Amino acid sequence: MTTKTLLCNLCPNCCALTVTLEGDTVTGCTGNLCTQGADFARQELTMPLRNVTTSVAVSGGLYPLCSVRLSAPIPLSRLTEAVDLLHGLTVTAPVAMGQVLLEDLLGLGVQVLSTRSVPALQIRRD
Amino acid sequence: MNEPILKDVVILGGGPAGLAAALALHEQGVRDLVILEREPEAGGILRQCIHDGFGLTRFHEALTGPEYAKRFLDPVRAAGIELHTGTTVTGLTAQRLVTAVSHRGLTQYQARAVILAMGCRERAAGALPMYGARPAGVFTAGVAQAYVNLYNTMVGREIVILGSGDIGLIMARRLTLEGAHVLGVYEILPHPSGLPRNVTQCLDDFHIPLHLSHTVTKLHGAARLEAVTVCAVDEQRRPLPETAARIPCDTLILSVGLIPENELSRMAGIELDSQTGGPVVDQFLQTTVPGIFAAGNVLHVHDVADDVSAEAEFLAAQVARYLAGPLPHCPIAVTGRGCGHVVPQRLCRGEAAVLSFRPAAPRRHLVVEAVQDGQTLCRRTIPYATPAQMVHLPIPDLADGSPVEVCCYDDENPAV
Ligand SMILES: Cc1cc2nc3c(=O)[nH]c(=O)nc-3n(C[C@H](O)[C@H](O)[C@H](O)COP(=O)(O)OP(=O)(O)OC[C@H]3O[C@@H](n4cnc5c(N)ncnc54)[C@H](O)[C@@H]3O)c2cc1C
Ligand code: SF4
Repeated sequence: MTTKTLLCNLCPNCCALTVTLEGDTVTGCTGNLCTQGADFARQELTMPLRNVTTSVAVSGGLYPLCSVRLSAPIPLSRLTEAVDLLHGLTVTAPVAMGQVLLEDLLGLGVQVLSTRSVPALQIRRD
Repeated sequence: MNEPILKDVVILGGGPAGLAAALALHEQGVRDLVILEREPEAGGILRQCIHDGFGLTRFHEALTGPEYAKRFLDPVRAAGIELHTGTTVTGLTAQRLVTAVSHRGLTQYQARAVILAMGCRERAAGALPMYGARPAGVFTAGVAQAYVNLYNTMVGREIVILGSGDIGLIMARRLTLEGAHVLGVYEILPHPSGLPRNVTQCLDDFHIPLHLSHTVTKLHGAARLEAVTVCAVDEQRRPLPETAARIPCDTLILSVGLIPENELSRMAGIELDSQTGGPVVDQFLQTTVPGIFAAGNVLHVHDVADDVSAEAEFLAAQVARYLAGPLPHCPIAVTGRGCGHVVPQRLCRGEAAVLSFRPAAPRRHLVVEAVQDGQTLCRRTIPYATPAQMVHLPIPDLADGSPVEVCCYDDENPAV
């Protein structure tokens, strides 16, 4: 049996978790204020997951950028790849908050969602 | 100038504090109110915080800043609450006369109650003891965040971050993802000042080194920053010259603290607390000038937006009460030991209250107690706490008028 300490990063409480392991299996978790802490520990010690927030380029919009996030966290090991892909993406205004900008990121079954609205740039002819 | 417009409540600032207060007042039947916001859009600092992690307590979801703001802005609009953006408040008197400037010109409001919700601004380089010229390439973290997130402008390539506040940590990750090379984060204190979750997900995930008990002592470069000198510091935070190292970089990002924005409060003659940088308030969040209240970052710096909205909603209930008649007198002083500062600073007799403060240093087994006349009024223990996390301590109604002291200490090591 081994023990490991880690911080739960799911919420600002940042509980200090002490996890006991039998081989690779988590057998106990203390220090968590809620049940999510134990699930987090299990996940973090096998395959850490993170959400990604960045922005993508917008053409024809009132602003040059649209901030985005993913519909669910992805493996930390795929983060750089995901960001590189998002940096190559350009979407066309108007963009609504919550709009799906990409259906299936890197085949991970996760959507790219807009987190702001970008109205189309109105060109005045006068 | 025209006659002042009469209002029950005028709210200065349309960030989460101002918006949440307005909504709660509206729900309580106070309808004669207006929000005045300097920026072209309401939402406050949240507009530029595109990272997620907002609303975990209130909505049980990790929202981004703009999404969180929308949760308040939509109902504010639906309720038809008067909101003027692009409107800067330039004057406030103790008689609650508010002067605002916008493209429409100058407008004055005579309010029965004023809510201060102006948030805070960042401490800038001028406030730091650093030698050398002031070349281009030195930004506060929030300014860098606005450049990158709102205006699509990259601030630099080789980056050093001074201070481990949450914004600095978040920018370390953001700039790394944008392709910059973050050389390291230097923090003068022996512990990080941002939330532990930001240290793990913004630095550790990207192998960005965090140098505790270190500071930047000198800037090099003429037109543009070329390097910084970093130094370890001793326990009194004095740089140790023999440890000095020159680090080539083109950008220095400062995340060295936030200062509540209180020029208007000063103008109105409101007493400020030198520790919080915000107004001295009683347990109803009323400042020392009757009818002027404060909530959110203008009062004391919060880490979590949910705390700000909750505080603003509590404040709204007190303002509604005030409009119906004066609030109880609060003569009982509150002080802190082992914690930075305590808000509110004054209490009344006969009504329960909640005190907010931060432990002075990280504690493995934090015990917090409120003591009056040598007697413990209440006590809470927290398994692990850092100065980055605000602690709330509910205290029972007081029968006695003597001062209250909040004590924070470590159960395992009471001497600390
Ligand atoms: C960069 C950063 C990252 C953060 N990250 C997180 C996070 O991940 N999770 C989380 O929960 N919390 C986070 N927070 C904390 C939270 O967002 C803030 O505590 C919260 O926004 C404070 O709200 P506020 O309404 O008091 O102030 P603000 O949001 O600053 O709003 C104040 C408003 O008042 C306006 N104003 C100021 N002066 C005037 C004037 N004279 N006239 C008119 N208007 C005026 C300003 O324009 C602004 O819109 C973060 C804060 C910062 C700064
Ligand atoms: S264990 Fe629960 S309360 Fe603690 S940090 Fe994780 S999610 Fe938050």
